[in-house]
Amino acid sequence: MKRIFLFLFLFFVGCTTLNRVIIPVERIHNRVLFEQERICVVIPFMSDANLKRKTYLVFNEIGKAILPDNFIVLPFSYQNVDSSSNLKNIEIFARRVRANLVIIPDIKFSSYDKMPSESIYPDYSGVNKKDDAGYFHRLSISISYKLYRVPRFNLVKEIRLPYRFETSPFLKVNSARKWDEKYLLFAVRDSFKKFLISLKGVKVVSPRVLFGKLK
Amino acid sequence: MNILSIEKGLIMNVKSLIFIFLIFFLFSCTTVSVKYNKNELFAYATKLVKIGASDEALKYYKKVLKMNGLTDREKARVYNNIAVIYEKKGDLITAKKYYVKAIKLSKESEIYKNYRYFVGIGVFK
Repeated sequence: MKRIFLFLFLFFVGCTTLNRVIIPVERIHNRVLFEQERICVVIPFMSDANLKRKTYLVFNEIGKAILPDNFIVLPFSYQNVDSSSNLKNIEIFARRVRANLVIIPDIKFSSYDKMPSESIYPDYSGVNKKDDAGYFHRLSISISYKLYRVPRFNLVKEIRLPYRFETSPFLKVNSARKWDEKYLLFAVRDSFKKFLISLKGVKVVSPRVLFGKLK
Repeated sequence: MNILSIEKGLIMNVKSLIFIFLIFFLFSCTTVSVKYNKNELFAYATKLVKIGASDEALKYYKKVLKMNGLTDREKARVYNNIAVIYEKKGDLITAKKYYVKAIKLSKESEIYKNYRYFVGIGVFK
């Protein structure tokens, strides 16, 4: 009796599964940016002009690499607005460069120095030269990107990425500034890359069932 | 002389008649319409999708839809398969149209499952 039921069950399962064909379908989900849309980036507000220019170069480099058809590269002199400007001015800027999407970055960072003391390993308190004594230098960065669609200035996407870097204790005080710049640009590059990739969406392969028989 | 010429003419006529008959016969052979069963056509189309000939399959699915005597469930299955092909091709607007048609006609779980994936529900689990 059991064998008959097992046979019937297997027959039923076989009949139902043989009539179906499963094919994989690749789709892009959570896509924000579409073909022929033009996207531009506003320079972030920074007091250091040199760093501002370097950030601008990083944005252009990454933008052109990830979104070659959509990203608008503008000359540095052309950018008369930065992220501290009001939205109206940014909108005028976007219209002038014929962009329908604008990225407004916001970069905040702070550094922290601490001389090692006797109680903390490694102990540099006995070192004579102050420069070689070694500082713990910590850099905290918070980067946010806001993507706006221009005609109505709707917020499409917002991303906030925190970074924290710490030196080894051998860092000299004089080189700290250079080190800050290096790691800040690294954080900008990494975050902007992540943001632009997220605009392109995620490729997902999921199964679809096709019927093999009408009945 | 006259009799010979008449005979020659007759032979020529017979030859030409045979030739014309052969041409008609061959032509009729090529234009014989083979009537396929809807089930066979549907199964064949699905096999075509399986081997990657989606455009060809689409043609056959549309032929099945034009056939008489299809029940709602059968129509829904054809619509589902057409929707999947369009989705695979990237024509999402047409795919959605066919998915909606399929869902309206049948409540088979597979069609709902396909539509859920199409919309994006349950993809990021």
